[in-house]
Amino acid sequence: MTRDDSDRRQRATSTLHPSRARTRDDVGARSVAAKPVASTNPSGTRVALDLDGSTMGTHAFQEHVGEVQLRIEAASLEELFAEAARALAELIGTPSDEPSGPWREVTVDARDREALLVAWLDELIARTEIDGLRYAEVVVEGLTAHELRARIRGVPIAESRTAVKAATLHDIRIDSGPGGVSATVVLDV
Amino acid sequence: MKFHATQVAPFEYEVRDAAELVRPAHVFADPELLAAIEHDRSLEQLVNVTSLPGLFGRVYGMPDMHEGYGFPVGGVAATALPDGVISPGGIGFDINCGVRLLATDLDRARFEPLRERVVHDLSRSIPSGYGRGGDLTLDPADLDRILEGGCRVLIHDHGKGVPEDLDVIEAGGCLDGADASSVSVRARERGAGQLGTLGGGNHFVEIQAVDAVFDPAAADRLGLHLAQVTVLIHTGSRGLGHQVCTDYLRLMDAAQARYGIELPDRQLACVPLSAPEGRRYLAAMRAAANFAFANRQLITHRVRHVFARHFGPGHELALVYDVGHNTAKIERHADRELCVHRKGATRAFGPSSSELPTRYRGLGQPVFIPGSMGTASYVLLGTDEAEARSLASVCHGAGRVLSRGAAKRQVAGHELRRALEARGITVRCPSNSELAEEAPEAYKDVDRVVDVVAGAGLAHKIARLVPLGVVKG
Repeated sequence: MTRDDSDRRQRATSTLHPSRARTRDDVGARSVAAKPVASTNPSGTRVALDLDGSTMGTHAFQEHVGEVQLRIEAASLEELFAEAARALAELIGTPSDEPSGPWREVTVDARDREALLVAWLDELIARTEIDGLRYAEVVVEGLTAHELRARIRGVPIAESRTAVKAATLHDIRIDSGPGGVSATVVLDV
Repeated sequence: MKFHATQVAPFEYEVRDAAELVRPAHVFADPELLAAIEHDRSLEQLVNVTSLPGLFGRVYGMPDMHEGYGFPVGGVAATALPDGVISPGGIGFDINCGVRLLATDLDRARFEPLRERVVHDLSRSIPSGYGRGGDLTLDPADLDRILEGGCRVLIHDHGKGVPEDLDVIEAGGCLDGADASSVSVRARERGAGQLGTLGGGNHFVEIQAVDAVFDPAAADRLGLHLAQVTVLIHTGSRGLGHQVCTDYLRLMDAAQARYGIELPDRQLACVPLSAPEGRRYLAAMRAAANFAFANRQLITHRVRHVFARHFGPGHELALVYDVGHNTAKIERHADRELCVHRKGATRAFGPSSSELPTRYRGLGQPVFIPGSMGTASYVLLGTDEAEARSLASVCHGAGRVLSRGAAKRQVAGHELRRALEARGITVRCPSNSELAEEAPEAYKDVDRVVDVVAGAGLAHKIARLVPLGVVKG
């Protein structure tokens, strides 16, 4: 289990605003970015905490012969999507010390929540490739089973790690339980 | 699901699920490779492929097969036209990823003193990873022409190569029927500035020397001889191709229910080729394939410039052949028109095929099977026998056995770099960690894989190439 991303990050929030797919630059977002601190739970898993002590999601890169399998756990679906972005950013590369880019508003839609997670990751993969930024700062503004609205902000990549081509629908699953939600998704690298 | 593998011919196994609920698949392997294949989920994935509607004949697994997503890597399946399906997952995200071999007129002794400098220069001349850039600026109309015209446009309009190159590229460097308008704006944005770049993962430019010739007459016709320096380029359609697959996978995942299609794995999403979505994907996939041909062509142009800088003008780097290994092609087999999906598998047409370049008629189609970093690569020729046995297909490499994480735990990148350099192999790679991911231990034994291909009669060995320098993507 790895959880060593040191990006500034934000709590996920949820409101519903239906709209079609789009990306818009610099929407004047205001963030209250919280720097996480690390704690260790009894099983040895590193868990990120907000400054107020509440837990954020966790992620792990699991064994897969040809690709990378990502496992994400979070208290809510909103946090799960935010954590997926942070995991992807960690996989792609380390952040530089350069200033962050502008906030962007992103909306993705899909036929169900599993496909929505894939579409979300695909959106970030494409934006990373086009903008040259890794997007670890996410504010989830609206989430249904078919649509996600979020603001994202990226920083240039200091050192590239893994060039990610796409997220796949193979073995995609999102499970909900009393302890929160978890997801497994295979990334083509 | 449990599987039984029964040997049905030399180096060929029939794989059935224990409950015999689904159609069997066939795998080319020997006992050791079969054991490696059984170690991951590739057999389950291969058997899942037999559920594609309109499947023609058998589904084949190549000896380098390993677990992928949807299709296994090293899987071959054909569907019968007009209503058989096309599945973007059966081609993969890196559409028309492939390899091309260049033959220099230098021998190893002439090259060795400049090895370090040449490899370094190649690493500076060919962007890798997320790298973009290069000396070719394309406006949208230029990109459209390349998407529909492939290497022809790059050579004739931009001077990036010589007309003779086109004679020895699969399909003449251009798949007909490509439609640039079927490629999304997002795909174009991702591909912009990526022509002439390697990308990451297992992509590479490798300088090699011919260290064994198994068939001197055939090698001579390919322009290869002992101790000759060659260059092998492995890359694909970059972000443009990745996005084309992403776009149409999403489309088909949503559309397939309208055609009554249900599959055991969502990544196998497909629609009939006769459906509007199927025809549109085929046109977009062909456009991305043309981008991949052009990408390898522009890298070839840069390799030629590097060699000219170090060895002077007039040194020829002749293209031996260029072949893709992530494609769907409309081909005739057994008097039927088929859509042949090859994911991590390459065509291997025999001497009598009408699809061979004039230069190789009666000889067979060149096939390249690269090993892992630091191990040998092979040049083979397809056989007529392969058409009936494997839909004229063979494997595309050695095939992974270790995950990237496991490779990094077992191999220290800095030690691997030192070990390769101690063997006279210059390596340029952005990080030791990425180097470890591609360590020889992470792959099957390429010699064994090639022996299975030859033993099964799918292709025969012509020459073996050993690495002198590697630029890793």
